[in-house]
Amino acid sequence: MSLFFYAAAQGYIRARLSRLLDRATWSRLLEPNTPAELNQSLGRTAVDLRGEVADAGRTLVRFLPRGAGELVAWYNQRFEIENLKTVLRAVHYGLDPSRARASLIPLRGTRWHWELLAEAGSISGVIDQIRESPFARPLEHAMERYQQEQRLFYLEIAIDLFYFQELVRLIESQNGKDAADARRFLGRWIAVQNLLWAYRYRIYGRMTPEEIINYTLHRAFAAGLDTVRRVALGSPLAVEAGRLGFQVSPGLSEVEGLTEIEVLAERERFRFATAAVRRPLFQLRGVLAYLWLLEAEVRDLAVIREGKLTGLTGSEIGRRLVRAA
Amino acid sequence: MSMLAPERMLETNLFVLEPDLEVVTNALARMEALHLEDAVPEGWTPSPEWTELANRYNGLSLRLNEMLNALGCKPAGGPEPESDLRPTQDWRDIEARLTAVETRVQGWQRRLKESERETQGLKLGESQVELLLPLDVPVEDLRGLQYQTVTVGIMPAGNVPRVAEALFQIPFILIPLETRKDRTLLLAASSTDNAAILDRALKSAFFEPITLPPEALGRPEQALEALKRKAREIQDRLNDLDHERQKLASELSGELSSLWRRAAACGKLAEAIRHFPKHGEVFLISGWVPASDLDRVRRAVDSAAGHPVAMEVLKADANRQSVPTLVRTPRWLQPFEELVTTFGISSYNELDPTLIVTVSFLIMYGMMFGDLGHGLLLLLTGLWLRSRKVDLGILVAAAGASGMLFGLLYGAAFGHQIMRAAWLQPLEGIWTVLLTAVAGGVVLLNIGFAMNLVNAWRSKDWPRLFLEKNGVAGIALYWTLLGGGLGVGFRILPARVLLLIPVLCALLWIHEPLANWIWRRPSAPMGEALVTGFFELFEAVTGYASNSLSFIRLGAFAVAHEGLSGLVVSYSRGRWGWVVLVLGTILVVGFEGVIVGIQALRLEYYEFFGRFFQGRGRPFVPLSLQTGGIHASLGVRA
Repeated sequence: MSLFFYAAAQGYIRARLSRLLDRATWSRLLEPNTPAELNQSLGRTAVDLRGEVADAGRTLVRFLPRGAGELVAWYNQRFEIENLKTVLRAVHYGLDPSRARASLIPLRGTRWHWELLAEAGSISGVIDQIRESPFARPLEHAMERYQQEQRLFYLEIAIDLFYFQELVRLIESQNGKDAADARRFLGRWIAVQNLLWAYRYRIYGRMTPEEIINYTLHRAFAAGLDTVRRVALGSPLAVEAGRLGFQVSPGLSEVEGLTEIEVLAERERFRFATAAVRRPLFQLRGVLAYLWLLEAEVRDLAVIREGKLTGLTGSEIGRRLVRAA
Repeated sequence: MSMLAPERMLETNLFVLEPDLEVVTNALARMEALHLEDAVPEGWTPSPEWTELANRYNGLSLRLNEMLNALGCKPAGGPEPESDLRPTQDWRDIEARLTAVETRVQGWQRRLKESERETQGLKLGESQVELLLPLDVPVEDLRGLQYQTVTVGIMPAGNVPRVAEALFQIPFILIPLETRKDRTLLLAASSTDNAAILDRALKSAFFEPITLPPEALGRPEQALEALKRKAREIQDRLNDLDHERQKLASELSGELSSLWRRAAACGKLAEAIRHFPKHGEVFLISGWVPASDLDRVRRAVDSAAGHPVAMEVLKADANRQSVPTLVRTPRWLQPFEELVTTFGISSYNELDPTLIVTVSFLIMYGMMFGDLGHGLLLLLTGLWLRSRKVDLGILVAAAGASGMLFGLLYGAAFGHQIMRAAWLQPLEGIWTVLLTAVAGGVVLLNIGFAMNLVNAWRSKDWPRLFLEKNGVAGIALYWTLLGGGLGVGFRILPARVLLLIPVLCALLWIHEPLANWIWRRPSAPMGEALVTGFFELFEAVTGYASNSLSFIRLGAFAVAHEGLSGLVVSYSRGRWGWVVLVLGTILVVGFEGVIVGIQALRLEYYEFFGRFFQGRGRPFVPLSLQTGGIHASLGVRA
């Protein structure tokens, strides 16, 4: 039966795949031009592009069977989270609302007026206004700690943990081939994220083992509690990354190693997605692969834009792109 | 064409003097004919007073909502305030009246909050003291232990097992005492040596420590009795407070609703105006107005201001600007708009395909689902859904009607051949049905080609119009392959017609470097362009064939539908035959009804839209006093 649900989704995806930027366009984007010219040639800004990815996810949800639809809908919530974090940062640091507005992803069908929220006078005011959102409760749980220490970290981690725990739950509730696809794509992604979190807390945050364990996922497929414990007790990055199949270049510091794994993980995602869309798309993997290709495109465009701002050459930027792999 | 083409838009700049600003914006919002854009010319800046005013209304709305919620009322829906809105002045009146209401209610609210907090504290205290019942020592003596650190507090329920994992390095005690909603009352203990680790683990799990109420004194049973006595007193107080709430609600809900509506409307105006840039005493209201509404807007604005307002009107340039799309779909076609908007919104330069998609979708659906009886069931289901306010109902009903029409052409009802087929029976004329399906597909693809030519013309995208696979060159190749192939095969056309094929293929192959050369665009390296062009050509040629043949499924499903329906009929004889008939019909109508809908949608999205439709437009969302209007037009795209 799910085959029939996926028929409409695959029609949509097949029709849209051709609209991804081709190699010639990528080459042109790497040619010398300013970020403003780049915006001009794309006709859209980076946040607009992210809005389009969110739209694609939202549209695809409507085609999917119930379980897979719930999963993809929740996966798509990451864009709402990005906007929520932008709002929290704007309010916490008292940023000019116009700066916050420029960073907000335009989301069709969102329930929240993010622009107005960015102008709320306080964090508790923001939470009051998004009381119906699933993220209000995790934020409330972290509020006392935030108020005591005035660190945004506690709010952000509360949202992230809640989002990823729910995502894990939804992945584990899938059946049949959708379950395998969800684990292969999203489960793998979550495992990598969890590993990166644990190392970031240890390296950048200098956190104690109990804090690292409390701020990471315990169920995260290939990198769950056991992995986090080893990281918390000092296991080297190369060893734990190796367990997930990533080879860190010898001689790198842990900070450099982390950056390398981030790029390797993104390239792996792109490879998975590219391979998946070459096969019939009548399964969840087709939907996830398409969304990942869109995300990879947006990520690379952001890298190109930032690379040009910092004066990198086309070939230097090319090495940092996911598509270059 | 007007049904297909988006409304012509004009970029409109209104230069409004400060004293006229409110009435002009109010008039524009009531007309709902201006899609606002954030435009800030050099030397113009938005006025901070209006930001302050917008925030003020936002705050007033929040306070009003809070008051309505506290009293258990909902803001009663109703018309927008009829009188002119004056956001710069109205807030004073709203504020004064709201403050008066708040003063009346605040005493009650404070007493309610105090009582609720006390109740909560007492209940937590009771839970803690109950744990101590086996001990025969005064509660106050337990507060200063020397070798143990003991703490009681609340944490998110989901974090309790996480804390246990985080404490893997030390001996500890965690006792969940009670869980309410998603929070757990927890007792945690460890040796004093490990107090720091316990504290860090608890804090990082968002633990909030609590202390026992002052009433908890003496031996545990005495303390518990004291707490319960106090709790009963507070419950009586809470009951009295609820009666007071009902009385207040009946007196104040009318006024609060009216204030809420006025604050919301003024807030929307203020929210719009705060984005208008100002220079001296002049505000710039910039946005898009449908050309057909321009005179109406001009008259309304002049009339509101009491004198002519300076207005600059510019033609839209969709190649330079992101122009919003407004398609005035006739009312009868609106239920089908979602067939297109699910995929995307047509951009300003694109023709809106709703009409063609509706007609072709219904024909395809009917062809695959042709049966008078099954169509009737679907029609009735659609009408029932519609009566339950389900938007999809009209589409389902129309699909059912189309199924009935094709049922007449096939002469079938509930799988029975009830009359002579006006056209044919699919099982009897399989080849005719399949060829008709492909021919229909060819027609639809060519409509797509034609729409692509119009879209390219409207966008002045000449390479797309002339050289690309869905442009003139591509269409010529398609027809040379199809028409030429058939013509030569049936000896209607001379074989030399086929010589056009390599010429057109070559043209498509080099279309990108050729377009770059003709229109003097920056070009990619020739080698790369040729390699890319070759694969694009390959994809185009195979696409022409596969896209056309893809429509064969229309015929195949028509045959399958008749076959499946016949099967149900053949098994529905005998004593329990009616059961088979009912279940089989439900299966055919429910299961196949969904499948053919998806197949038709797939043909629309992939085969048809792929020829011409990008769907990357943004909708025209006018400044309005209705909920959501302003925010949407300011780019939030709610």
